[in-house]
Formats: sequence, C-alpha cells, structure tokens
Amino acid sequence: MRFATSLAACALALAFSTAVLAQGLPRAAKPEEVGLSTDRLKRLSDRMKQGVKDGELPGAVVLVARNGKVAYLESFGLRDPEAKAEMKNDAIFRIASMTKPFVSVAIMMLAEEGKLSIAHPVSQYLPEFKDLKVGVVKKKDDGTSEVVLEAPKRQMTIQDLLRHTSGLSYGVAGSDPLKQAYVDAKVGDPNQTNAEMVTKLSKLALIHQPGTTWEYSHSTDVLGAIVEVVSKMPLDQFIAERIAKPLKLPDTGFMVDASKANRGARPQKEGPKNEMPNVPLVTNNAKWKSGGGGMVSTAADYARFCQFLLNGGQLDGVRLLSRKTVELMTANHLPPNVLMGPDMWRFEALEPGRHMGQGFGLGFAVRVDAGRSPLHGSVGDYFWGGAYGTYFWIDPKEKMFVVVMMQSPAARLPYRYLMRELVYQAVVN
Amino acid sequence: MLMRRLLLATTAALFIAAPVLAQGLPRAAKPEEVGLSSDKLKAFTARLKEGVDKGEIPGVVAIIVRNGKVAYVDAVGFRDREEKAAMKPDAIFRIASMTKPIVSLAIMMLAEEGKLSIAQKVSDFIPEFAKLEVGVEKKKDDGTVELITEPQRRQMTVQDLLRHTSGLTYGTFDKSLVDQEYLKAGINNRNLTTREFIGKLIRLPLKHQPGTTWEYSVSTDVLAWIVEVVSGKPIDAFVAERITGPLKMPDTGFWVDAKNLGRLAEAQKDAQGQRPVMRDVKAPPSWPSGGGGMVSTAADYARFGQFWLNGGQLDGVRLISRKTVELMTANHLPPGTKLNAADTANPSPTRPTPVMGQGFGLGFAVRIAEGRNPMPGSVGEFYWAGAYGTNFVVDPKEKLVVVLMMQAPSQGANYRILMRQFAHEAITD
Repeated sequence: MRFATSLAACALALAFSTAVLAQGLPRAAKPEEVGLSTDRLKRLSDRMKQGVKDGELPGAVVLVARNGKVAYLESFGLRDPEAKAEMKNDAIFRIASMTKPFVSVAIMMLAEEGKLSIAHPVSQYLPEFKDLKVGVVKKKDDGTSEVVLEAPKRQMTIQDLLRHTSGLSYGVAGSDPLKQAYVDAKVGDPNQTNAEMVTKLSKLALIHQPGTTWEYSHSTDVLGAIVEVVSKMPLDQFIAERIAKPLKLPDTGFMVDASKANRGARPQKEGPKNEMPNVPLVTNNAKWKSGGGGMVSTAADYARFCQFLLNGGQLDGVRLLSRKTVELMTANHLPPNVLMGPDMWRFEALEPGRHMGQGFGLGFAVRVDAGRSPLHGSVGDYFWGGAYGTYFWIDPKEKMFVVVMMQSPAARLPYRYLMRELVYQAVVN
Repeated sequence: MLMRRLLLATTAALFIAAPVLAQGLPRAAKPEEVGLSSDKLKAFTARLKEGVDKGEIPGVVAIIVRNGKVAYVDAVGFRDREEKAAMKPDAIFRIASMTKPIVSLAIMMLAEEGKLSIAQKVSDFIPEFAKLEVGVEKKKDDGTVELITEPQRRQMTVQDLLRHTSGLTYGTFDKSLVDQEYLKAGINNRNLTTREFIGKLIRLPLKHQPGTTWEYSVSTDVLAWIVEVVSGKPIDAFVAERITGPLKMPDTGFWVDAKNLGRLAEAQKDAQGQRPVMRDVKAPPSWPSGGGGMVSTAADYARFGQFWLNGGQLDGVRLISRKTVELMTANHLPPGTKLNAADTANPSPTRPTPVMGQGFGLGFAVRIAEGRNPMPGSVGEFYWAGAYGTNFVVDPKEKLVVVLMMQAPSQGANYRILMRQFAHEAITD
C-alpha cells in the first residue's frame, strides 16, 4: 500500500514537473550538452533581471532549445505587477501576431488536403473580393487629395495573403485616407465575425496593386476567414481540433478558461505617457476570432510548435504537414522587385526587406543573408513577433529555436535585439 | 659581401627568433606539412628582397599560418634603412587602420554582454548625433556651389559605423564641401583628446544620408568613443585588458614602451630626402585613435588572425562566439549601396564593390564572389590594411592567415596584391 502510494506520488511529481516544461520536449542535462555555455547564458539571465529591476519590462519567460532539447527556461520579474504575482514558466500570454503562423499552418493543411491552392485567387473562396479596386491618392491642384480607384492588374491570391503582398493594409488613423478608411469601417471590431470583416474589407480600396508591395496587414485575418469557409468550422475550433490538440498545446487557443486566469501575464504602465497598454486578458472571449492576432499561448506550448516546424511538420509521431510544405513556407516568397510599404521602416531590424538581409515566407519573416541584418542569426532562420511583446525565431542551421514571452509593447524591439545577441553569444560549438 | 651578410643576418634572425614568434602558435615542420610549397615561398622571399634591394621598401616581415600552424615567417631588409638596422621578426609597426578590426571586436564584445545592440541608434550613446544634418552641394545661379543641409532620413546606427555607411567621412581623401569642413575644423588633429574629437564631429554635417553610401571614414573613432561610454574604460585600457592581454599580443597597443623603441620600424626617406610623416607612437597619445592609432607585430597580428579563424577563441581563451564572427565577416552592404566619389573615380581591387566581388562586414572587407576581383582568394575571406603599408587576410576556406608588415605608405597597395599572389600560389593541396 505504501509502495503504491509513493509510486503514485513519484508519478504525480514527474507528471507535474514535466507539465511545466514543454510537455514532452526533453530537457538537456546542461546547456553544454547542446553546445551552449552555462556561463554565457548567465549573461542573458543577468540582463533580463537587470531589465526588470530598471523597470524596462514587467517580466518575461525565455526558452531556448537546441538539438530537440530545452537547454534554458527561465522566468523573470512579475506575471502580474498589480497583483505582485511572480512570473512562472507556465504563464499564459497574449501572443498577438504570433497567431499568424498558426493560421498559416491551417491554410497549408487545407492545401495538403486539396481543399484549396495558395495559387488560387482569394475571390474563389471569398467571392466578395472579386471586385476589389486599388485606391490611388492623387493630389489635386488646390492642394487637397482625392482617391482615384484603379482596376487591379491581377487578382490577389492566397499566397499574397500569406506573404502580405495582397494590397490590403492595417487601419491607421491619420493623413492617409486609404488607411483611415479601415479605421472608419471598424475593420478590427472585436464584436464582429470573420464573415462580417470580409464584407467590410470588400468595400474598401486596396492600398497597393496585388503582388507589388510588402505591407503588413489584415491579410492573415482574411486567411482565417478562408479557413472557416473551406473547413466549414469556426477558426478557433479548427485551431483547437486540428492543431492545438494533436500537437498537445493545452494552453494555446483564442482564450483560456477562467480556471487559468491566475496564470495570465499582465503588462505594466509604460511609454512616454506612462499608460497601461491595452492587452486583453487571456480569459477574454472576443467574438471576433482574429487569425491575425487573437490567440494566447505559453512558452512551453509555442516551443512545441517551433519544434514541430523544425522537425519538418511533425512532433511526437503526429504529422500535420509534409517536410516539403514546411520548406515552402520557410523560403523567401518576395519577388526581387517587391517594394516595402512606406511605413514598414517601423519594423526596424525586423523589416523583411533586402536591405536587412531578410524576406518573407508563408507566415514568417525569413533571413536570406548572413549579413545586412544587424542581428545574429543564420541564413534560413525564420521568425515573427507579436505587438504585445512576444517573439520567436527558429534557426534550422543551428537546430535551435527561441521563444520569448513578455507583455510589453514598448520594450519589444529592444528586447528582440538583445535576445538575438544574448542567445547566440552562448553558442560555443 | 653586404648582400651575403644581410642574408646571413636575416636567416640567423629567422632561426633565433622563431620561438618568440606568434607565441604559442605551433610551427609546421615545413610548409609542405600544411599544403604549401617551400619553393614558392622562397620565391616570395626573393621578391620581397628584390623590393628592398630596388629601394621600393625599406624592409618587411611576413607570416603565413595555415591549419593553425606557422608555415612561413620572414624578416627582410631594414627595420630602419637610414640607421642600417636590420629588420627582425619582432619588429614593431604602426598598423594604422588595422586598428579598426580590434575596435570593432571591442564593440561586439560589449554587444555579447548585452550592453549595446548594433541595431541601436548612435544617438543613444552620443545624443547630439540625433540632430546631425546631411550636407548637400547645391549649385547656385552664379555657378558656385554652396553647402546646404537636410535632416537625416533615418538615424545612423552602430551597424552603420561598423560598416562605414554612417555618412561620416575622413576629410582627407576627397575635396567635397563636407570634407573641406572636416579639414577646417581640424578633425584629424592628433593633439585632440577623444572627447574634443567627438565635440568637433557633432558640429559638422554628414556627407551622406546614413545607410546609403560606403565611404571610408572616422566611424571607427566614433566606435572607440562608444566603447568608452559603455564600458567606462578608455579605449586603450579596454583593448589591453579585454583583447590583447587575454589573446597574448604583448606588442600590440596604442604606443610603444620606451624599452621597445629599438624595435620600432621606420619608413625610408623618399627621393626628396624626406621620411613620410607617420603617427607618433613613442608616448601615450591624448587621442588613442580607434581608427588608426595602434602598433603591433607580425606575430601578434597573426595570432589575432588565427583567433578569427578559430571562430572567436585562441588557446582556450574565448572572446566572442562563432556566431558573432559569422555576423562580422558577412557582407553587410545592402543591395544598391552607393560607393563614395573618390573610390568610384579610382576603382581598386580592395574596395568593397560588387564590381570587385567584395562587400564590407563589421570591421573588415569581405569577398563575396569567386571571380570579379583580380586578386586570388576565396569567397568568405576577410581582410583590411593600414595606410603605412601593413595588411592581412584571413581565408576560412583555405584556413589561411597571411600578415605582411612594413612601413612604406606609397607601396602598400602594390604589396597587398603581391602578398595575395605569392601566398595563394604557394597552396599545393
């Protein structure tokens, strides 16, 4: 009886301890086992602790895995500054645009089933997009501007959506009437359905000719709508049943249950106006399941997703995509003469332009040059980030990936640069 | 008779001095052990001797290291022709711009500690740089040209400084109006302190919009200042404690100790009986110039070259990670980077242009094409040179380090090409 109890206790302890680590992803005994230096990783830990101490960010969880093993997993600072709750490895974060790779994978899964082709025009699945026009802002003689509509030279395709060359935009209030129109139409309304969003977009002018310009946009939200139309199920249900469940990502979805509320990471007041950033609670159940930014996840879950990609489309015996599809997704899809949208400089070193040695694939930015980017990495590495502060990158050459979870819009760019630097300086083989 | 004495003295010096060369770098029993031809190397020596005998150069020390072993070392001619002092392998040389890779390394070491990111704006360290304007030469109606200024389109970054796309210039290599402003301000006055140099620089317009044009410049002197600001140490102390000390490069620094003055090589008098003016290195300088103020020996710099070839470590001492070496030795010039006017007018095999199959990394020129360049070499090799005649190349494909040290400013370009030719010809495997 006692033996059975201690056995049960062991099993429980084991299950509990592995539960907080990338469930199932093995842990390296020490970083040196996978060519990383314990001493040099300490620089990363020290810098994160210093950042928290200096008030640069409320807290973070950082995970580094190499050769299929988690080599570093640390939490820093506070999960919830108001509640003064310490950050823990299993904290849940709003991942914003790190939703986009999930939805891109969903599209490619449907493509592998023959239910769509990314070469097809979007209008084949969303007929409302058939008559989209391109808006051109022309200055009149009296100094005012007017919007003139042109026919698109070719139809927008699903590939355009995946690589953000669709001609769509994000709404921005301000002097650009085309982007202001998105704001006026409430394209990002959290109370809409994806179908309603598509109808709104179908009435707006595109801001570029399809295929000509990389402009970060609602494209992935449109992909989410296509997933719904083709799979005949809501986007959150598709993600849950076809991706999160098979890959064993229990804390990944468009929200988490109230029972997990005490694991939700929160931001702190920040920025020049010392304001609380608008980050929805992880338990927030928005009606609009935004394929461009609506999900939550944990470091451990997103690490499993990264390992799935690094493994070429399968994890722990569950295959969702073929190797060839992952190869296609993680190649550069931007044509040589593609333009960068006029405001895309705001991505700084993450801008997927040739001047930064980068391009964009089907759901990720990809590195195409060893140099030009001021950040460490490898040719072929691919990455993206979320506006609330989260970031990840996958480096097939070094068989490594890194997941950075934090909720701090203001600190996100500087911390991405630091993470690239501090992780790679620890590579010692 | 004199020739034979010279030959004997040289050979004697070679054998006696061998143990003090490249302290710790093992010696190949013979060149053939590392795939080099003794005969071809003898021909190299013969050509160097010819250069001395013809009066082209006073003397030279050359070292070739392959597969981590010293395969060739030779000291030819005079350390000081007018004093009739024979060149010895341990001669000390003013290395001028071969200082730049050392200071670039210092910046990257600080980056690896998380103390800066090369993606950061220079104005994060020198606030006045935020307000620098760019000079534009404008033709007036009366045919004269005036200098007007326009704001920076994007802020200069630390990466711009490392790869000479900062928009700064030198003042001495071109007659542009901005260059003339540099001269008027006395920017190259060696009696300045570093702080005074920066103080003058912040009052001058940039010559180019940051990021647009490669122009050799005082950028590395600005980097040295950033090292001081971030580390809290003067650049000479940082280099001594963190680089030349740990890498065992005892004769490398910003001046020559009194006890070593008898090893300092000198340029010979020209046809007008004048010695070329070179930097005064006989006392600690008020402005240790990160762009060109150091001295070194062939042996020390060969160790430095091997450090790079080893991916950032030497004899068990690691200063940077392999990934940082990869980043530094990749081409960082975006497609379409313009080349400054002076270099465009006088194209040279050692200028970083696609026409010459070369780019520029973070502190070195890098070869990016197999062909195009008239000098033999390999894709991925990186190198630089000093105005007084010193030069080096590191070739990761051939596992080769070649260092040539001399004080002969007018012959530097010729001997750079010669050195490449003879060193590569000697490869037999």
